[in-house]
Amino acid sequence: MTAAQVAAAAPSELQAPPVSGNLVVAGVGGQGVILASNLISQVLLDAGYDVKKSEVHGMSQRGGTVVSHVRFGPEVHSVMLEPGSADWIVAFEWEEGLRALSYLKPDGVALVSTEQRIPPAAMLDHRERALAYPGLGDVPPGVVAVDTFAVAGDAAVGAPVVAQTVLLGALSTLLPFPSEAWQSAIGTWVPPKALTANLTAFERGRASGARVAAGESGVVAGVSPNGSAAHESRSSRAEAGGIATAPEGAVERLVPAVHIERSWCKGCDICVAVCPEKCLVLDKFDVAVFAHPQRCTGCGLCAWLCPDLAIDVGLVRDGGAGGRSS
Amino acid sequence: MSQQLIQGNEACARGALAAGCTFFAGYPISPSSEIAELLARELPPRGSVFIQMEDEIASMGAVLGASLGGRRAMTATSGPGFTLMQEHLGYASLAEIPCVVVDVMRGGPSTGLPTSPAQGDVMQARWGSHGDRATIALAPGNVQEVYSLTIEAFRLAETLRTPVAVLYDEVIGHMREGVVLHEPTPEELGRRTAPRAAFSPTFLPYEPDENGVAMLPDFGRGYRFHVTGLMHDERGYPTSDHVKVAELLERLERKVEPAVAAVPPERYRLEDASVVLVAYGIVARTARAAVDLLRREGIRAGLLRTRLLWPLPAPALTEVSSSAELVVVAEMNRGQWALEVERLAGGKTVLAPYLKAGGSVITAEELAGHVRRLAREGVAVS
Amino acid sequence: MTLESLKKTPTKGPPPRGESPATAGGTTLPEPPPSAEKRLLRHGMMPHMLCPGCGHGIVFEAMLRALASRYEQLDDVAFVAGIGCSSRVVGYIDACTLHTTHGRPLTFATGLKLARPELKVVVVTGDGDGLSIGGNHLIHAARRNVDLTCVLFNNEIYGMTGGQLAPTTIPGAYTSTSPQGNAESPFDAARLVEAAGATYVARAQSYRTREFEDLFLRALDHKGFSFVEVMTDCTEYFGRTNRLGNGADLLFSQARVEPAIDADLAGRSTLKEVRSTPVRPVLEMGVLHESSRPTLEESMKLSGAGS
Repeated sequence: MTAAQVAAAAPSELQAPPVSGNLVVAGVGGQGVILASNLISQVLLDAGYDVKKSEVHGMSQRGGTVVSHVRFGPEVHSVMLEPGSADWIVAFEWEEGLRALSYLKPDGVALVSTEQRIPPAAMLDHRERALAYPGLGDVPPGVVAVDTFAVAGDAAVGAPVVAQTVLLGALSTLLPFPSEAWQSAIGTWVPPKALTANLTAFERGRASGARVAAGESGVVAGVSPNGSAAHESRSSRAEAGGIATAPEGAVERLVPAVHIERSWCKGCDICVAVCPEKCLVLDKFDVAVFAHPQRCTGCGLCAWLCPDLAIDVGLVRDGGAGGRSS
Repeated sequence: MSQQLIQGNEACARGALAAGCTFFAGYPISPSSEIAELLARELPPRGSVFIQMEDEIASMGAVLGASLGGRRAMTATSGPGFTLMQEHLGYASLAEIPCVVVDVMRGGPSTGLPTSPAQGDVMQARWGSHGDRATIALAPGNVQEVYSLTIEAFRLAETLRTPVAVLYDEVIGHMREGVVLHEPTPEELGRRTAPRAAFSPTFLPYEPDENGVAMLPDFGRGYRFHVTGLMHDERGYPTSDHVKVAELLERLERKVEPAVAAVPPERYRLEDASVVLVAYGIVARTARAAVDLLRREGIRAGLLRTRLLWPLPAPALTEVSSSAELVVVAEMNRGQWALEVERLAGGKTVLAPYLKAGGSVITAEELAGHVRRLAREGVAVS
Repeated sequence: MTLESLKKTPTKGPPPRGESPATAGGTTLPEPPPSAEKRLLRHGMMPHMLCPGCGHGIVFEAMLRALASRYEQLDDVAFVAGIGCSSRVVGYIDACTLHTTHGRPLTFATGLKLARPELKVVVVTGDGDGLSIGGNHLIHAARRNVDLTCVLFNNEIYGMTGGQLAPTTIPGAYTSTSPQGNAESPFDAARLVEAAGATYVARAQSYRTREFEDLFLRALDHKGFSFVEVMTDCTEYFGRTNRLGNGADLLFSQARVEPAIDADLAGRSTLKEVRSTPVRPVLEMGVLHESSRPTLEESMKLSGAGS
């Protein structure tokens, strides 16, 4: 079934249970890929299928790729999928979703979150200002791009991982199992304190899935099909809006200045915690920003204790655009 | 040039000195210890380094560190020590660090039969380290050859930028023969290629030339580069790019192929032979006597004596398996190289290996008897 | 990356920088020049692979700062490392760097130093690498008094492999292979190495980077086997498994190593009870031992030794 066909079909028309099927769940470390694939497997198991599930995760603790294959049917032997054999792909991260597309059947459906976790290695080439990361501009065939944060809304506030549950909601409209089966599996697998938020995200995802089904655009919410401009990445300097301008026309004097190499910063929070003057904050991408330059004394603690070598502190001539123009 | 009566292990040490070896690190183990003992006497007065390390793992590590410092470096050991060196041999293959490792084989497994001869480390030399390691292993068959093949081992190691093993057994190690200790020519010595131009930030330490060999500058002479046991790209930086890694492994395998032409086998009475004995090391000597015995009895026997175990000298082996009616691989193990020959022969001839493990040498009479029996049973042989 | 593109991209050079920080008003905020130690980095390999808040990164930068105060360019200094999170840092240094096998960097370094006595050789190892699988080599390098500087990053756990028990893990601590709490006692690395014959032994903390820099520079200047153990924090495994907070929490816990707290710790049966209190036993910091005897290269009368 193509994305367009999904769009044309109402959930109620998908009632005939499939004999068998293959799923790929993909994302990066910390997004809950394993939990989600466990949860899907639970639903399938409860529905009476034989289910096999694989997990591939190596450096996931450091934001590496995590992929899980789920196969179900009357009897399943092999656990790994061949390319071109997945009926559904559920991807929590944009690039990981695209990476997994080789597994998709020609008529399969990929539900891909527009969340971008740009790996540091993709941002190496500063001279070219190039980002080795696929934009959101061209949504490949078969892909339903889902702005999971927009759909999840307040359910994901303070717990970004919850946003991905939206995709399970959307997936549930493609599979003929009752909502209760999914809720029960969520109850089994999600920690109690996060249950309510996950159930809300699931319902919102399910509703958005219905909206896809009802014929809305392939992109479920928030992002226009060629709207990569709407998306900021960790490498963008959009955060600098919060930085105060250096005083105009000041006499020549040396003032402390801080440079933070955004693509090296891993957002550990140490500089924010150690700065005696509280000059630094983490922005919404978990990257340190020199938010209050006027308070800085140039003590250098942040640079000494930055594990990512991302901070330079020095004295520069005061007076606006001194320093370096790169 | 006059001959000197010296022991196999001494010939090895003399060969290393003649080859310009200036660094030896090792750990005592029979029956190889004489190599270390002689080099402990000879190296320091020349301003060179001898060090006895805390174990064989450390010995091999020190050899590799010294090689990166620009030394021609070696170690010598026997089976159990060779086992401990395997991880570092794999490291040296992947990081492409020249070195020579001599393994004077004794009976095994485990502590086994110290100071009894065996040829049990043939497969260890090939597959002892994990992963697909390309390797070169030489097998001298007499004391003179221990000398010359030790020199050749250094040449191959340095020019191909790879570890090279020299495998011989306890009998050859402790045997004394008249040996001519010739001075190697510059061609026989070979040398690693080092970049001539001044260091540039775009220097790629793992960019291979047309022979698949990259240049190796010494550490601390102005070239700053990274050496790692992780799969790496041409910069030496770690990579997990499947295509690059596959290319690298393929190149490392291709790189050692020149050894096949460099160390040709010896052919004895093969012209019209219908029975070909294939042997290496000490067994090749008794096999030669067996050929003469059989010839006297009217059996057209011949000997292919290989001096190279790895990479497999495929052309010569293919040749004899297509021309001979019967091929007998004789070795002092439970059948390590014999299976490789069988694999290469691909059913083109009759193979009846003569295998003997247990600590004693295969005699000429045993081997001739084996062929006679086969002849009586009507297995080939006209 | 293709070979051609690799050739076009210098692997070393001045630090590249991201976009200049335009402010809301469109003017440019003054930017400081790159710190001196940045010139010693292999920028092509940055950012490094350490986890957020990893203490190793702090120690690594401090090492670079100390080196930058001494060397314009690292042509005469070689770095040798084993396997593990700590050992990966040498790959980011623009020098001759050798990333060896697990536990064996000191053996490679010994060979390199004897081959080229005029080179300064620095070994970077971790507590698992240097004290467990490589413990034998550590005591022998100390016994021989090879003129090496060995920096051991002690984070009390195996980070690279996923947070397993190390020979330095403190009693009671939870790791992925001590889920009931560690039943073993740790090595005191500095005292072990001193007993084995090292002629300079110091201990530092990632929190006190200036002190570490001084101790490291003294180690570089020392003739003979110099050993600096530096206590660092593994946030992702040690910190998380023992619920000790984030990188900043762990770092601050180093600042509060006091006998009273230690005594308090002794009374607790498990680490999980202490949560917010620091977990390290009180360890003596600074130079713990310094003596003088001929180095191995001097005893071997190698040319270039002692230079």
